[in-house]
Amino acid sequence: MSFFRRKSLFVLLIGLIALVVLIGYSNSNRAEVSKPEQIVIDAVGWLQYIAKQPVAFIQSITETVHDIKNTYEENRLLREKLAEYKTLIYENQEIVKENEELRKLLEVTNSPRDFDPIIANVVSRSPERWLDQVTINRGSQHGVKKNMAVITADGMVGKIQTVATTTSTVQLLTGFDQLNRISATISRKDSDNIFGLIEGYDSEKEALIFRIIEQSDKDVKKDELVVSSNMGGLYPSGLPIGTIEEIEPDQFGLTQTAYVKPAANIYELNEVIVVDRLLKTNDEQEEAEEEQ
Amino acid sequence: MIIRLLLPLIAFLLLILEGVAIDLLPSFITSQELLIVPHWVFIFLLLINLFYDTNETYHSIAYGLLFGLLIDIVYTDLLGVYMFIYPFALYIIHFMKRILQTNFLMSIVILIVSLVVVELSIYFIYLLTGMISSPISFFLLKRLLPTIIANVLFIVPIYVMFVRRLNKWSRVRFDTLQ
Repeated sequence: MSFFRRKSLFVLLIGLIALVVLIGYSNSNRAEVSKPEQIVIDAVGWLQYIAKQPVAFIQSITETVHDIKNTYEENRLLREKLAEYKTLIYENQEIVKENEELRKLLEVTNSPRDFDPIIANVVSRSPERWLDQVTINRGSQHGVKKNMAVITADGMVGKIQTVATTTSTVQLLTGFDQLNRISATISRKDSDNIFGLIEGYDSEKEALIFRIIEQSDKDVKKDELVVSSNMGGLYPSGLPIGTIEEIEPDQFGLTQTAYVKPAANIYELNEVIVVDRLLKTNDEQEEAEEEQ
Repeated sequence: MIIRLLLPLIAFLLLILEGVAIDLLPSFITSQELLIVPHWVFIFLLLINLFYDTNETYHSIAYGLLFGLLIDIVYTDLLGVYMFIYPFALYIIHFMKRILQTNFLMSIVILIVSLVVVELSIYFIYLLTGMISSPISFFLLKRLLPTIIANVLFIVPIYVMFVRRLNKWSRVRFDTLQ
């Protein structure tokens, strides 16, 4: 049994020790990845961008064919919507103007809703499917920072995990766990908003777990829109996350858990927007003051 | 000299292509909860192990260390996992090779066995570090099974393309040394 020779065992032990040390190092909540890692990520990201081009081309062709099939039906629907929107645009303009004037009166410059969009392309999706990460072609050079929200036109898709100089990786919503919660809210017209936390992803139900912290007798209904709120201090408020699919009381009957279907299609990502919040939190302000 | 550069170059190319592999699958497969993992680099290293390395050389294991580390850095952020598991599996294969014949069917059997080893170790390491919390039944049905099927399908073209060349390169490389 040559496999159990002493030399083999020795090598195996060294390997195990190296494994534990490296996992410990990379799991130690480091603020950013080390310089050599950044260089590797950037170099591979650049090549991935090239490799992605023919794939994206084929994808766009199949999408176009799919679109053409539905053109007639879509056109009819869009015309109906367009008529509705004409009045909405007018109303909206008035409200925006009023809002600006009121804000000037109150001397508030940035609202928690405002953000700078950084437009990025998805260059690759991690083959390690447990983790649900994608790589985008924007990095610290373009102003991307850790923990920024990432959205598409439809809604939130994830947050920035690691940042290199010209690329960064995005943790998708489906890979979220207890450690990266999102504070979210259901906006109500007549009464108070309902607050809660998105606490992770249920892979069996294929929906996000939304725990409503505020005990209330207001019933949450199906198909209500859940948006991000400013309470967590990480994301700007008003980014759509998804719609309520199912509501369940928890085992003690004190809180309610709702299952939220993500608004954006997480499986087909091409262009995403990194959200740079304009309103800084207290921590960030202190940091900026210290730097000056 | 060219061969020395060619092998890591091909492995590196496969590493990059792994990143777009899932986009190539039609969306009705990817939008289900099936976790198909492309282990293309590993398949190539396995073929290097079977058809390029002799009983005394350990090139595939060295490549396993290098490309395992690259996969960790680029795709997972948790260093050390692939870097440990790929060489470990290749090391086992190295000893299986001495007992078994190396032909097409045998390499598929070896691939299936080593993928079970690789996937199980990844599952347990991620479970221990708290990256995932899926039950083992989910892992076996939704991840291990589809992954093995997909990778067995993938080894066919790679086998056809590279086996003869690997044998030839091996002869050029190692016979001249003696």
